Parts: sequence; C-alpha cells; structure tokens
Amino acid sequence: MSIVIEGLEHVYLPGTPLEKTALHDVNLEIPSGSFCAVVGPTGSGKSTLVQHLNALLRPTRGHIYLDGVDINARGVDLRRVRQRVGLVFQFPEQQLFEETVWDDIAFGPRNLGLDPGEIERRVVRALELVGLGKDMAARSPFGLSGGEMRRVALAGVLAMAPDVLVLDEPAAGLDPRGRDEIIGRVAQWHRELGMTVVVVSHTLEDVARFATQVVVVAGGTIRYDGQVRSLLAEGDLMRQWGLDVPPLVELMEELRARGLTVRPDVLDVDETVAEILRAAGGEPA
Amino acid sequence: MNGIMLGQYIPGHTVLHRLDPRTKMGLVFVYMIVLFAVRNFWGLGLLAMLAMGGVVLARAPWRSLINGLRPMLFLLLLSVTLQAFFTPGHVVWQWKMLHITREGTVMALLVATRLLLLITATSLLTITTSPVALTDGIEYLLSPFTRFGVPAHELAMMMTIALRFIPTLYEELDKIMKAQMARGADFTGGNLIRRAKNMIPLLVPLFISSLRRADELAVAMEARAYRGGQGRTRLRELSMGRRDWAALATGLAAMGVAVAMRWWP
Repeated sequence: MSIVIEGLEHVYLPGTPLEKTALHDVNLEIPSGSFCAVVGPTGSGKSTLVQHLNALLRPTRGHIYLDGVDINARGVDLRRVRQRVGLVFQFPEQQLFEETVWDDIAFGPRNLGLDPGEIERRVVRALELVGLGKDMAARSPFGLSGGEMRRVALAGVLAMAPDVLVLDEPAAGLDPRGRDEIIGRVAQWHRELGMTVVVVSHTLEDVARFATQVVVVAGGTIRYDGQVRSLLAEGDLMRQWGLDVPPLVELMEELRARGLTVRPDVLDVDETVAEILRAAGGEPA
Repeated sequence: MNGIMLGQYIPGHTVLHRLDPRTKMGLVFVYMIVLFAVRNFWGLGLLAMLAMGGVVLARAPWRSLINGLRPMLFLLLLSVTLQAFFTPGHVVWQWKMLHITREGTVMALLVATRLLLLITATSLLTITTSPVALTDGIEYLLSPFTRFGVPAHELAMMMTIALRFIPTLYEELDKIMKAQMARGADFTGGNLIRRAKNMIPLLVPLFISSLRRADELAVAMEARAYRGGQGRTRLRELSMGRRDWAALATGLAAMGVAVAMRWWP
C-alpha cells in the first residue's frame, strides 16, 4: 500500500496564545513494500507526522493519500483506514487494559465487527508473530514483564491485519537485546509478509540495516529523503539537523581524519570490520 | 478542552499579580460575604466598580473572563428565571399561569449581578495568582488550625501536586485515546451505557499509569528527604508589603461603605 503526502501542514491549538506550527511543507512518498525509517531529533515533528497516516490527526493544510485515496475526504470510512494503517504508539504497553492477553489482542478485531472464528484466528496468528506462546493468552497482561507487555501491545495492532505498520519508537526503553529483537521482528514482517513498514526513531543505528528509505525530519519539515548510505556519508549534515551520528560512522570519520581511506557509510559491525581491514591491509578481509 | 480553561492563571507583572496571595484571598473572601449582605443597587454598584477596578488593574483579557462565565451561564439563567417568575408581589406582566412581578424583576437583577460579580472576583483571583502562590496562601491561612488536627501543609501539598498533574494526565489521556482509536475504538457514538463501557479502555490504562506515577513521585520525594511540613522552610517566603496593606485598607473600606449603604435612605 503506497502512501503519498502532499503539502502537509499541521498547527497545534490554532488561534490561541499556544499556537504552534508542528509541521510545514511536508511532501513525501512511501512506495508500497518500503521499510521507511523516519528519523529526527526530539520535538522535530516526526510523531505528529505519523499520526496523520491513519487520520488520528487531521492536517491543517495538505492531503494524505493511501493508494490514491485522500483519507481526509468526506465519506471515507475512518475505521477502515485505521485497520489498513496500523499505528503502534511509543510505549504501547501503557494502553493495555483487558483482563487477559487474549482479550486485549482481540480488542481491535472485535471493534472491526469480525465473527468469533476470524477473531480467534487473528489472535492466534498475532501471538505467533510476536513470538508469545499460546499459554500466555489466559494470563493478565499486567503480570508480564515490560518486554512481553510491549509484544502484547504490538500483537494488538497486528491482529487488525494492517497493510501498513507504523511504529513510533518501538525500541524505546528496551535494553540492547530487546531493541534488536523488536526491530528484527519488524524487519521479518516486512520481508516475509510484504508489509509496508514505517518506523519512527531518533537514532539511525537501530534501523539503518533494514531501511529501504530514510526520511529525516527536523524543525517541522523534511530535510532528507533517500537511501541510508548516502545519508551516512553526510555526517556533518546529520549533526546540523540534530541527529546522532551512529558510532560506527563516527569511528570511520575519525579513521579518515587520521589518513585511512575508509568509506563512512557502514551499516553494521561486520561491514565496518571488513572495510577497515580492506583499507588497512590493502586486501579484502 | 484544548485552550484556555476557566479562570486559568495568566502570568503577568501587574499590581494585582504582585500582591501577596493572602491579601487577594482575604479580599475575595470578604467580597463574597459582602456581596450577599448588600441589598440595594447603590451598594452593588460600588462593589461592581471595585471588581471592574480589579479587572483594569490586572489587565485581564476580557476573553478569558467571558470564557470563565460561560459554564455558569445555565445557573445564572435558571436563578434569574426562578426569581422573576416566582416572587410574589405587584404583577407587571401575565400570561396564563405565568406572571412577572416588579419585586421579582428586582430580585432577578439583584441575583444576576451578585452571581456575575462573584464569578468575576474569583476569576480575578485565579487569573492573577499562580497555583503555587494560591496553595501557599491556603497553607498559611489554614495553619492556625493545625493545632486542631488540620493537616495544612499536607493539604496544600496535595493541591499543588494535583494541579501540577492535570496537564500531564490530559496529555496521557489524549495519547491513550488515540492508541485505542488506532485499534478501531469509537468514543463518540452509541447510547449512554455504550459510551460508559467505551470508557473502560481509557480509564484502566489511565488509572494504572496514575498509580505508577504517584508511586514514583513518592519515592522521588522521599529520596530528597521530604518528610511533611514540620520544620520545612520555603524558597519564597510570603511577605506582606506596603502594597498589600494599602490594597487591604482600600478594599475593606470600600466594602464597608457598600454594606453601610444598606441604611441609606
């Protein structure tokens, strides 16, 4: 499912002393099947941007098209839009409320008015996708660990069977292993289920390996839209926009400053090691 | 809910803003009593002038004052109607069972003016006094009662914390609401029972996070050695200046005159 954003502007509390333009002049195309990483410093407007993708926020100006249909046009079924574009908020475990994991995951499908058989299939499938055992289903979500609760919340959105999955900082507050686990799963859904994925993150490191498209949001508008590698080569620009430069890229920059001709646009540790060996030894590792 | 709320504090540096909170609270308290002790329009006129003087001095925006009146409009209309129709006396207008009396009209006007002035005065207090200053004032004014077991400091601290967390809770509610809407929840449609049921996915997460937040706040306060009001000093001591005494003298004198007008010919 493709997403096109045209001339989007969003103003919070218009007409009050607290009026604030959160987004302006946003034009963006996310092709079907992309893994799009939206990165930007805190307060840059990236969360505001993604909340427009399922019409939770309405644009002050501009349009959002899902497969060519303006989702804010009159007569559009919002429930259908929200089913097709699944949005996972930051710290989604804070929205759990049901007595059992099962009921919480079934909340979305029930709102869609599906029949019990289909709901059951959806819940079982969602549990499977997030890697929780069926024995979890009868437990209270409030007795789980933080990481498990987050997976239940993710399952709650997956059970809607969305075509597009939008995740706002899915790895926030997790330890390094938990981060890898969540991002790895999202990448797997993208790869194996053909989902279009939009991940909001304030750092590139987590998502650099998987992203087919990187969008930098800073100061309420889009500064960059393109490939990961060409962005990684622009360390100074990233700093200017207030982004954290991934440590591996910083390492490469330091090495270059000391006279070793390495590429700065590395995605992971293996690639970095290979590149350093190549530059230092004059031979491929 | 977004935007300016009823009687919300508007930061500023006017004379009224700089008065000690105790002065303002004391004056408003006496004003409220005097409003109901005054029976004739001359006295009320003087009280109205006093309130208007305050509005001008505080440079209070008319918009926020009028916004403050809006929720009270129903009460105002109700009491005016009741007074107008149900006060016995000289009938000036009649239609079937309904009649308006001259005395009723006078009473209605009196009640309306009183209510309007009451709201204006209390709004002035909250518009020009920060919530922190207000609770400081309350704590001070309650402190004589501590010997009878009134936990003055604790009450004030509870109010401060409650006020501090209103915007936080609101933000959180907004977020939870959006998250549930993303899962197809609908908070607008349906009858009363349906709507009440729809609140569960909002209230449960909100309660849980509030309890967790309260717990964290308690630990954070204890970690900084908070142990209640005893022997606690403050960063900003309340102090009554010459300005406060002048305001008290003027205000009380004017209100005294307004009450005295009762015996005017």
